[in-house]
Amino acid sequence: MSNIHVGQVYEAVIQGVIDAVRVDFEENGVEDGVLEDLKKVRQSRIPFLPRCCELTPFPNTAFRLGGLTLDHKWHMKLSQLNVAQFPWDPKPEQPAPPAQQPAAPPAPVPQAAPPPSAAYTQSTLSPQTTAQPLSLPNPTQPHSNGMPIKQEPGLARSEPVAIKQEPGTGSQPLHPGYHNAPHTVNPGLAASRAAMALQNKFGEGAAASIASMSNGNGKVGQGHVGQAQQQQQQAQMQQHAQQQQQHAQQQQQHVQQQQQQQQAQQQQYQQHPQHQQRPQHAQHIQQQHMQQPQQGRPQQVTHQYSQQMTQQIQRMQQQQAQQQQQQQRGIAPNSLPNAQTDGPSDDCWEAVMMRRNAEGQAVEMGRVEIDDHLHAQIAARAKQMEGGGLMLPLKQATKTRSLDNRRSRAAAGPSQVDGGEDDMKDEDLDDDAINSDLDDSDDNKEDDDEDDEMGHMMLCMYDKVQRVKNKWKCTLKDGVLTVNGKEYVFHKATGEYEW
Amino acid sequence: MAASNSFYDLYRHGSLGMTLTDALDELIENNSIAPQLAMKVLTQFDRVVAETLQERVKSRLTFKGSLDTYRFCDEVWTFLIRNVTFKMDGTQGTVVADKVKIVSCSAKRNDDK
Repeated sequence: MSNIHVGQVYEAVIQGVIDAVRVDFEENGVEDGVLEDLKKVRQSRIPFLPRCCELTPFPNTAFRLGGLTLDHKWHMKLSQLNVAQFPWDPKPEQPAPPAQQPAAPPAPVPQAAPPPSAAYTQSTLSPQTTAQPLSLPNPTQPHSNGMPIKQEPGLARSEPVAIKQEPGTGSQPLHPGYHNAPHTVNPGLAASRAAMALQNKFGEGAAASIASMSNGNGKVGQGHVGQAQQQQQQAQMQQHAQQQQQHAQQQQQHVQQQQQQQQAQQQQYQQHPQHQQRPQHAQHIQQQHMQQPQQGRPQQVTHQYSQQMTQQIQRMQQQQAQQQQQQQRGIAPNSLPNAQTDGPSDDCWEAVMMRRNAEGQAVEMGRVEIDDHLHAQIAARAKQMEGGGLMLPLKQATKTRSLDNRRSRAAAGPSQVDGGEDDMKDEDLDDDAINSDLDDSDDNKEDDDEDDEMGHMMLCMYDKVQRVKNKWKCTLKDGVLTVNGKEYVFHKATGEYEW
Repeated sequence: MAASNSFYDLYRHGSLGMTLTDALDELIENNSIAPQLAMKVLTQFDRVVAETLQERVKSRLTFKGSLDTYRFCDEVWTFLIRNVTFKMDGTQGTVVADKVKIVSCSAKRNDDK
């Protein structure tokens, strides 16, 4: 039952220290010659005293808590104390403060009344080891790439304008695997549902708003598309307004066709590795589209609708391609994505594409490449998290952070306005760097040592240390052992271990 | 203070010593005490801890594990042991830890001086 002894032993130690030092304190105060100083010294000694004394009735882990309650009582200094105590005692989950408070400052004698400490010792048995997996928050972090995509459906449902996202997500050449995923389809579906709901609620009166809805969709590309197309689109809008009823009935069909169109688009898109070819391609289809309205309208309603969708897709692609061209020429895009109310997904993917382009590779990335890409990025994020994690000692955390900063600053490209990619890249580069291995191994060693000091540690005297081949035997005494957040004291200890 | 020199400052690295050091640091930062006074407190602490451990602690402990690193420098043994099982006497039972660092000073030096 060495654990219960700990409280008493510590208390005895503190009491002994205070007794031994009292004279020194008073001497010191007298030497200063000012009574108030003496008072101060005494008072200042007292905070320390009851703090530790208050703690000691609770074995080990209750330390921080004792400090905390005291800090509430003793304002300024002790709040600082509290902060100072955090590093070595990472125990946040102590439920109740001890009942006894150092209400009367000038009473340096510890109030020994120990509350039932068994409950504490049991409840705080081994949270430290279970809390070890530091990288837990990471799983959410690496998904930040996917986040915008996931948010899309919600956005699209609330405001149908998000239809134009479809092209954005649909036209990503980087993730063929995602094309068939439901979330790429959802915005259109949601938009059509919204349109339907409007139609059902307000009947004919909603026609205009629905038309404006789809008008909003078309706005994205208008900056880059000729006036004739605008006019043509307006004509189509009117047409739409007239024929909304039919539309409402056929919405589902539209969506399906839309999906098909989209997939067809993606396939076409994938067949064109050179981004520069896209505008031509798009214009080709648009020309086809221009010819379309002259054909019999009433029969073609659904077809036109889907055509409009494809046209929007084309416009988006065209716009993207133009932006890419601009950026390849080194010109900053004057028209930032006009109506980017739809989250950062486009930016993200464009960023990846841009990066590739900047390297001179206009070829789309393959699936394996992408996977590697993501992997590396996730790993880099995880590393970052570890560097900034709570479990690291402060020194190390700051060290790694500053290192990262230096690296990223040093290697940041000129056109890299987009966050995480650089870091990943830098990590890769660092792995290849000559001195990185040495640095890393050093860091790891430090990690080990620091961890040990933070966590499990035995301080003691040795009587004998014997070794026979790889078998060690040692006799230790007068030790303090900290394991799993608990402390033990022992008079004698014998250890046997193999090397 | 010849007596205080014969005690190790080893235990300052334990939780008890660390809290004391923190508290003293705070007091020094607040200009409540002089650094010299804090040093005196710490030397007293070294003595009191050693004496208290000697006088008041009777419990025994055995442990087993695999030795990862050993080091003997300036009469100080440092062991890094993995997969340690501590057996306390009495009702405490066993405690397991994946790695424990042991810092141990010679017990004889105390007697010599």
